[in-house]
Amino acid sequence: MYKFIHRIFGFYVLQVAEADAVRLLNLLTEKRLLFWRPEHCEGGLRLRCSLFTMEWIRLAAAHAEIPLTVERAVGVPFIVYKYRHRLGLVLGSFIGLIIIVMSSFVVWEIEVTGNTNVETARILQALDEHALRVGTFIPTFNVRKAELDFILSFDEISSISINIKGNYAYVDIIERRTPPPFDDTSGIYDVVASEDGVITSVEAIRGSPMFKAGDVVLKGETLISAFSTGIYETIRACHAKGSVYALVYRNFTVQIPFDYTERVATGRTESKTELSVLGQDFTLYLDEKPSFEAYDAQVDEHNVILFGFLKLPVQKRTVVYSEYTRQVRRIDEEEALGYATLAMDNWLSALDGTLQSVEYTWKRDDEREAYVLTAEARIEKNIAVEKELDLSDGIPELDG
Amino acid sequence: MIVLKNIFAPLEKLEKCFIELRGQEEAFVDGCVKLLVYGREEIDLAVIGDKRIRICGEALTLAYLSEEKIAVRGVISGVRYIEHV
Repeated sequence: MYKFIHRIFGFYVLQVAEADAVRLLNLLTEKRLLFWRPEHCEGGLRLRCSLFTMEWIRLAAAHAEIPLTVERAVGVPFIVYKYRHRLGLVLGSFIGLIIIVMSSFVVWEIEVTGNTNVETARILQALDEHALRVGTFIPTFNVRKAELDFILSFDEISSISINIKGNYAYVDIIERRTPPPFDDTSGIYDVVASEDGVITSVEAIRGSPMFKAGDVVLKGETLISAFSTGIYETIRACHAKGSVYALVYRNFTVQIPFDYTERVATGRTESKTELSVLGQDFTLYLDEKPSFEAYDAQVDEHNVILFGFLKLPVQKRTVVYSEYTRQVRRIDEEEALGYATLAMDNWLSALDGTLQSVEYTWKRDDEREAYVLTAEARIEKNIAVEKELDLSDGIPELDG
Repeated sequence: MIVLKNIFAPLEKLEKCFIELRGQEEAFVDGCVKLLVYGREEIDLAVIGDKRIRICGEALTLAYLSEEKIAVRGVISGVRYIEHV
């Protein structure tokens, strides 16, 4: 412990001749000048004294005509003195120390828990709007206000708890349970067809169904009527509701030219790196655009971790630009069919219904200098949509 | 006559030298007046009562030294009084 203290405040190692050793020790004792570790060495006696008492010891020894030799000086003050002309080093160390101290007052990371349906990125963005982000100054951050503002602005969250421990902000949320859709029975509505199709099933919850499975309907036709006739010929109106599934058709066409333009990577790449330290962005490049004319970009973002476990409040974002050129080459029919099939598969996966069947034709069109694939897909979907009735002209006639 | 005393000073002034040995490694001497000889094998002290004592041994070093007390560390082989200072 004392060793550590002495190294911090600094001490001298002195040497005195053997003949004067006892005299010096008695002198220092008499004058109550602190020294320690008097040990014999080659040439005499070696002892240590602190930086503060050195001058007194020197004066006392000079007065008693005892020659003293300073072997070495040890400690932080001497190191600082050695670098006294290195202002940049001193300034840099000072700035670094300030940064370390100040960084202990800001949020380094935000951890969100409790969310299953709402994406963490959305929550973080909403928190950012209410002053909680990486780099937020903790002493001035009002937790209660942030929690309240967040709840009022984010409908999908019913409860939030923000706890700041050290430099970490732990956000625990409870998502709002969506109530079942409100069954609006007010108003008078028909259920009509949103497009042409062949009906496969009708489920009328309210109202009178006008068609059955196997019937062909056109867009706009009433599928479930709001009006029904009672046993005493009374007409009752309601908010018709139900599902009507029908087979509908979708068409798709794609042309693959004989001279196919494709991307070919040149192999040249450029990367641009950006650092985000406690929420402040620092770009390590001058021009944000690469020198390529045509390129693909791939972004990688991750936290900087030292020695495999020390997580720093630094995010490194690297964008790698890969150059490519467009080349035109003649493709054969088999390859063209492959491209066309791929495009058709992408189209089929995005259809708004359950795929029942698909038929396609493939031909070579010399006039357009392209291969053409034409496809027709049959899908089953719910074509029922509600339409409010305007009864200002009276009740419409009902079909038998 | 009111005698002002240092409240941190011992209540009784030592009249004789007090020597304490702890094992063979440490020796404490209370009542030391002056250091006379400081060597690796022997350390001579002038103590209260105009006496001189010698601490013998090997690798002897001073662990503590003040106006009245001294502590010696090393392999102590003996402590004896020799003729007056």
